[in-house]
Amino acid sequence: MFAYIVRRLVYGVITLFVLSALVFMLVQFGGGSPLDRLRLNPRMVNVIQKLTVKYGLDLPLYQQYFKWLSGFVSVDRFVVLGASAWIGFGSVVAATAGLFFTKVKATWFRPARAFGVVAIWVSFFWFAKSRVDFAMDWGDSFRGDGPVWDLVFGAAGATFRLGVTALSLALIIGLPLGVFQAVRQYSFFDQVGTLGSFIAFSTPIFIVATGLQVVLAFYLERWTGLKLFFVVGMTQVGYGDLGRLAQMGDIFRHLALPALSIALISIAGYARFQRAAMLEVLHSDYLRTAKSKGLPRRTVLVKHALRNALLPIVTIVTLDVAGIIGGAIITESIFGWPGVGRLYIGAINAVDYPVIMAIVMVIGMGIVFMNIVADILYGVLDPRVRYE
Amino acid sequence: MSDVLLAVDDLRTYFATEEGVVRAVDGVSFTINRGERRGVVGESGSGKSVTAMSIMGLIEPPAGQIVTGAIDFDGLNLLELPEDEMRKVRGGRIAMIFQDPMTSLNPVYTIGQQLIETIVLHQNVSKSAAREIAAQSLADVQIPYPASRLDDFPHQFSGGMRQRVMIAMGLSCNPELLIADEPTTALDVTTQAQILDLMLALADDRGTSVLLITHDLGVVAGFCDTVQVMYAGGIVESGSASDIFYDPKHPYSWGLLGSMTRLDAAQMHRLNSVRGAPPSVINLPEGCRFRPRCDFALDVCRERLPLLGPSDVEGHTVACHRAAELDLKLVTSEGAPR
Amino acid sequence: MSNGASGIDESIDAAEGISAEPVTQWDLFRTRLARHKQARIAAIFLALLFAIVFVAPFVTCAERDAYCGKLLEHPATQLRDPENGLLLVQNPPSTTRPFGTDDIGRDVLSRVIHGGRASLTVGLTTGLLVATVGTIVGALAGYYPGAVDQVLMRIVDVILGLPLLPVAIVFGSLVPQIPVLPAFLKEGAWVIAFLLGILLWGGLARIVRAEFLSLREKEFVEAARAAGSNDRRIIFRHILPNAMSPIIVATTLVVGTAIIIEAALSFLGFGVRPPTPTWGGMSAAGARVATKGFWWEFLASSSALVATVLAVNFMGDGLRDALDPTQTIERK
Repeated sequence: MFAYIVRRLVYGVITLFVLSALVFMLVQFGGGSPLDRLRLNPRMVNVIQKLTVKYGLDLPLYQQYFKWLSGFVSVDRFVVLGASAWIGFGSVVAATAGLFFTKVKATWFRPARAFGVVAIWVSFFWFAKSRVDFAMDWGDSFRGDGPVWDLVFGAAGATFRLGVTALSLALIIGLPLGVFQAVRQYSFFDQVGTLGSFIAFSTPIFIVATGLQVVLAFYLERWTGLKLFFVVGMTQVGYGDLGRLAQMGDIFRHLALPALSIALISIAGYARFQRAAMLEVLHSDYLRTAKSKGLPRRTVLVKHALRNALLPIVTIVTLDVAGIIGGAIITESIFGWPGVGRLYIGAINAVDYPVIMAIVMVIGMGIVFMNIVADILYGVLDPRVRYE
Repeated sequence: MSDVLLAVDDLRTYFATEEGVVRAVDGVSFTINRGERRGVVGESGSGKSVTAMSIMGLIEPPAGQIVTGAIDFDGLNLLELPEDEMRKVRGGRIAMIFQDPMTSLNPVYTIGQQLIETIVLHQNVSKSAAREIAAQSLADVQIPYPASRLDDFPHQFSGGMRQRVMIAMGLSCNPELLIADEPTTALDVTTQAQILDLMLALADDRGTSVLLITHDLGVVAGFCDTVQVMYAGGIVESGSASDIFYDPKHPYSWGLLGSMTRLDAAQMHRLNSVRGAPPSVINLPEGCRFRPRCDFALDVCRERLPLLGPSDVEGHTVACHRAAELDLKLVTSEGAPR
Repeated sequence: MSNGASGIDESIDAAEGISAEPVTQWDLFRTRLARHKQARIAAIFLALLFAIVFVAPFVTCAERDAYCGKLLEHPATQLRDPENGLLLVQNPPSTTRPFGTDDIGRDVLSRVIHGGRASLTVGLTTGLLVATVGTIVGALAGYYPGAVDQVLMRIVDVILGLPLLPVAIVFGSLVPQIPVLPAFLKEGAWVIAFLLGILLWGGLARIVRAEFLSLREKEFVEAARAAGSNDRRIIFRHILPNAMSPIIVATTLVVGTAIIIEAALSFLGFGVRPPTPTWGGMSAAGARVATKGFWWEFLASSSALVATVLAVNFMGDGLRDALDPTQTIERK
């Protein structure tokens, strides 16, 4: 398993390498110099000269690329605020190692261990976020917005909020929908669900997003006078002055429509996939065995059918993260959501290549990471899988 | 006899398909006594498995439906039993073993979990006691290191071993009836006899009746007391194993026997085959269902469906208009009269 | 069944009478596809769409602002009121302009019809590219395990590891500005079609490879090899026909995806550039005015897009059902 993960990581790094070179060349050939705009002003000659040297724009292309690459992988600042961070870090590493290497025979241990490791790492990042100031040297934005690292991670929180909400929605609605459809195969509910998910699956996110915006925000307010949802930004002006409950309501009213726009296509996809997976299990021999043992229908469906039917879903959901990021790019630009997606569109329009490169790489790394997570999860959940 | 365990009466199980109604089981009646080993023989699609699934109450509406009939199990009418009562019978008093051991065990649970689940369900015991019973039943089916193998997953067992596990699971609750649906078809020839021997010996120890479904006449000859031959959803012949083997009354049984290699035959004989293909159970022929493939068919066979009736041998019943006049023992496979 | 015949003839007759008629795969395919109601409707819809988009140039005024009296206005023509010469801006749907006019007075119906060209061009070109490249790569990788397989599959890994939409956005935004590219590659739908072709072939290659890996071990391939067929013949005559079903189904899905991504790129402004009408671009323009109450341009363009993608996906679903050779006709 370890060797397998290392191999996957190596492939992932190669992919990222190709990705970076591809985008870099594209930006160089197609984007022109980022300083072109300054050139229109004759008084800027000196400034252009200085900036050209500063960003190394006069160097040959491959040198520029390696300059960018060496910056991308090097640490800009790493400041630990206080000794407690080190203690926390040490104990997290120890606990993780302990979890990984214990050999417990009990069957509940495998999922429990996976859950424990994930929980510890999440709390580690939570901890590190407040106690450690860390940044990579990803260069400065050509638009003068400061270091790219800070730009990207300043926007990442917003995208994370949107993406996690959308993913949760998709899981909470999509999976049960598929399961019920399969259990009641050929029923009216199943047929409506199948048709509905087909339509949702065929509707581009930007149509869902603008459709929701127009109907649930604009026309709803016009016809009924109700202003239920906001269509721009994450919070309204004066958010800080609101009470706690009002703040939560405000977040919901901003988050609902963009999150639903992203989630809808995933809901449809998960429901379709879960239905198929569940049907396959329902027709399996071992389910007939379970029934012939005299188990109650609920136990047969939940313990024997669902447990197996959820296996392939794990892969689908982890791989769908790429789709959700893509959806976030579109949705953020429609709803003026101050996340990575909107930053990306802005950077492309301005040919701000350090920002473009950084975001493409972050998304690429996320996909590589999720692919590996999918494999590991599958290995944990399915006792038949052994990675050589 | 008073110790009739299972009585099936005029069972009809139909399936609705797009092409029409499949009459998979169409008027089947038989009884099984306590401790009896009954063999059910027939080609694929003859209704053997559907009969078994009907007894187990595993026919799933709306597609499959038991149209008429009665299944009496030790005084209980299984077809009218409420679902939670039926669940106690299913797996507890009637157990079933399926054809393909490779796919019949749930891949994500250990053998132990699946055995203990059954035991806890049907016997009033604690989890740890159930584990003891599970280990014992693995030992009974001669799996080495039973206690530690409980924690293994199905994929860590070979096909033969998995079928042993299935047998252990079926017998762990000491059922009164064990239905084995082609339990050895998917196994190596070398392990088939072992598994069958083991299964039947264990069933004998417990006084369990066995309904052994197979298309292999040799298996029936070697292991069963009584045999019923099924064709196109109905029983065409029923009797003791030796009667059917040495004195078949139905042309179909006779044909099946002729198509079988026999080591006990006095001299070499040509292997015969039943010509034609089994009829589609959607468009059953009028009259006798075997008539289109029968070497001995008369006009009467075209008109009326023969019913299962007594023959000149006690306990040997046959569904053929010409059963009384034909003496199939004398007909060689090469010289069939037309 | 026959009445007069006797003896052997009769019984053979009867025996044949009860066994099912021989049914070919082609028969099964047709019955299954015809039975798939949505696929039937989808096929009719797509055929109509093709016809309309194909005929459109012949019934459209050739030049903008030239009133020629043909059925459709030129998609770039700004309509004016004949009486006072004012632009017909944001006219709601009426009998003469069934889809209304847009924010600068262009006929939305004409633009929706002409916008279909971009979607169909991208869908078909990308589908064709993906089918060709994916099949060739997958076939080579599946038929020649070892070094060839390893190299090709690592390339596929990289392609599939690329984040689709972000890369498509960079491509769509910057490729048309690369000076050295030939002109036809820089304009409109073609560049998007080629870009998506490059980005989308990986999945199909994997599917074809898996098919080839299993099929090359089958007895009929062994037989062909024993009979002296060379590799090319085995690949094209023996294996490929058996692998057609998954190729067709996967390609249909790619066509749907390509249409959606082209629309998304045009919506964001990185796809086909205005004034060329596209459904994505019109949806973006329509969305801007829809929040002011002018809903028709957005509704018309997005409906056309959704209906087309839906039809393509229904076709894929119908084909999957119809082409699956292991599937028998089952209860509904």
